[in-house]
Amino acid sequence: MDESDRSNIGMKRANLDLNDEVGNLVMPGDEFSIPKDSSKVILGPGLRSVIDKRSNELKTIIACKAGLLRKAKPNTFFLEMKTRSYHSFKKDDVLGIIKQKSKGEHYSIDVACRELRAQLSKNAFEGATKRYRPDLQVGDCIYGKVMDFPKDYPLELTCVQPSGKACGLGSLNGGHIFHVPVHFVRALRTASPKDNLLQKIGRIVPCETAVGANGLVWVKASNAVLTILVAQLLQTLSKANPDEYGTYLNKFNSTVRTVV
Amino acid sequence: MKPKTIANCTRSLVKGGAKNGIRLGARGIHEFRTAKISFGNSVGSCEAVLLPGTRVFAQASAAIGEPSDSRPGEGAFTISVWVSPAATGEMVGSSEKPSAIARTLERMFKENRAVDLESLCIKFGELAWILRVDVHVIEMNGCLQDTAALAVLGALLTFQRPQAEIDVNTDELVVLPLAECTPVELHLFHLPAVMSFALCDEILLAEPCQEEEDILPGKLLVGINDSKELCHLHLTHPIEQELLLEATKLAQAQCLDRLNMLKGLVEEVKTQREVPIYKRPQGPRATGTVLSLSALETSSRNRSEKKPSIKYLSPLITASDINMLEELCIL
Repeated sequence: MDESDRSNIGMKRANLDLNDEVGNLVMPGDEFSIPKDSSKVILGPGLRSVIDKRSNELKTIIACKAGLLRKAKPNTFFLEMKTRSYHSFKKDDVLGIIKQKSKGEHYSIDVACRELRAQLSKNAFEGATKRYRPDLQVGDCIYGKVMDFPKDYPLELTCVQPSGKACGLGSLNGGHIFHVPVHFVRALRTASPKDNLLQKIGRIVPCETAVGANGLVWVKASNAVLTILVAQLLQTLSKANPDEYGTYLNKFNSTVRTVV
Repeated sequence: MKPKTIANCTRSLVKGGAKNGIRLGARGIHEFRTAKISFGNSVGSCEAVLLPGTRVFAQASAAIGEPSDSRPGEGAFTISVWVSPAATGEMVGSSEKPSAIARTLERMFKENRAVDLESLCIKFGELAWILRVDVHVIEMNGCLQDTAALAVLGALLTFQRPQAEIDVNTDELVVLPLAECTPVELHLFHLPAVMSFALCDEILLAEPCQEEEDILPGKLLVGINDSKELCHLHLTHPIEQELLLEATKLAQAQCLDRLNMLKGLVEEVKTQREVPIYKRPQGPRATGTVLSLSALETSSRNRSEKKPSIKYLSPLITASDINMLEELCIL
C-alpha cells in the first residue's frame, strides 16, 4: 500500500524519514527508518528507539506520543505535544513540594504527578555533610534536578550540580507556587530572547522565578500583590494563543502601573 | 495535575493576603465568581461553570415506579453525585466530596421541598414518577456545592416529562411519548442557590478557589432562594452574629443576580424548544414500530400479565407499545 494511502485511512505508517517529517503531525506508533549515520541522532521526548533483543541492533525509531516532530540543531529530534500531565526524563529541572519528612535519609516529594513518587536525599544540598545539612519542613518548595529515573522506584532528585555547587537549585523561600500546563513550560524556558516570556515580564515587574519541567512555577516579586498578578498573568497566558501574548502583556503593564 | 501538598509559601501568602484584602485569584474579598450556564440538547441536561475552573454537569431523568409506603401520594426524588478522579486526582471512593455535595443538594432540594413531589403522583399508592438527577463533577477548583446546586436547578427547570395517566375505562397506564403530547414541566415551589464563603479570622472570602478552601479552616455555606429567604446554612466554625448577617446579605444579592440570569437562560431554551401543536408535521406518526400480529398478541399478553407487579416501567418502551397498538387499530 502506498504511504499516503496509509496515512489517509489512519493506518500505522512505516519507514518514514526523520528529516522529511520535521514540522508534520506524527501519531503514536509511526515508525521511522534509521538514518544512515545513526550514531549522531539524539532522540528527545515522544520518540523511542527499539532495539532487537537477539542481535542487539537498532531496529526502528517509534513515536510513542502524538505531536509535531521538531528538530533542534545538532540532529536532535523530539515531539512537541500538548499535555497537562508530566512524564519524567533524566536531567529535568523539577519543582516539588516536600510531602513527608521521615526519619531516614530521604524526604519524599510531591512533583504534581499521579504516577510518580519522588525522593530527595537529605545530603543532596550544596555543602551538606552528615552533621550539617539544611533542615526542611513539610510544605517547603524544592527546585531540584532528576538524577535517576529507575523503573518501579521513586524518582531520585538532587539539589546540587555534579560540580558540587547549587547553581540555583535548592529550597525556595516565600513567593507563590502554582501549576500551568506542561506544554506551556517550554514557552517559558526558551533561550531565545525574542520569545522568552519571562524576560518580557521581568522588564515590567522585576521578579524571581523558577520553572519546573513538571508544570509547577514559582514566582516571587517584591510584594504579595505583584506576585499574585504575575501568577495570574502566567495562568491566563497558558490558555491563550501565542499571537495574543503581546496584548496581554500590554494590559498587564497598565494594571501594574495602577497598582504601584 | 495539581500537587496535593500545599506549599508553605502559598499558605502564608493566602493567610497574609486575606488580612490585607488580597486574594489569589486577583479578585476582591467580597467579589463572587463569574458563572456560565449552558444547556444540552436533551431535556433536563445542564452544565454550570464557575470561572476559573469548576465545571459540573447535571442530567435529570424520570421513570415510573412505586411510591414509598410512608408517602403514597408523592413521587420520589433522588440525587446521585459522581466526582471524576480526573478532576480531583483522588481515587474513586476515597474522597468525601461526593457525599458532602449530595448532602447539601438533598437538604436544599428535598428537605426544603423545592420540587413539588405531589404532582408526580399518577395513582395513589401504586404509581408515581421517580425523578432522578445525576450530577457529575468534571473539573474542580473549589465551590463544588455552589456549582452543583446551579447545575441541578438548571436541569430541573428545563426538564420535561411525558404525560402519564390511568385510563378510566380499562384501568391501564397510558404514557404518551414526548413528541406527541404536550410535555409536562416540573413544578418548583422555590428556586434555591448556594453561596460559599471561606473564613479567615473574621474576614469573609466569597467563593474561594481550591487553595483558599484547603488553607483557610472555616467554611460557610449560605443557601438563598429566589424570594430572598434563607433555606440552607452550614458552617464548620462558630462565628459572630454580625458576620453571619453580613454573609447572608452578600449572598442574597448575588443569589438573586444568578437566579435571574438562570431564569433568563431557561426562558430562552424553552422558546427555542417550543413547537406549537398546529405547526407539527401532518401525516402518519413516525414513532413506534410495526410488528407482526403474533408478536402483538404476545406483547399484549405479556403486558396484561405484568400489570399487577409493575415496578419500573420505562416511559419510552410503554409509549411505543401503545403507539403500535393504536396504529394497528387505525389501519
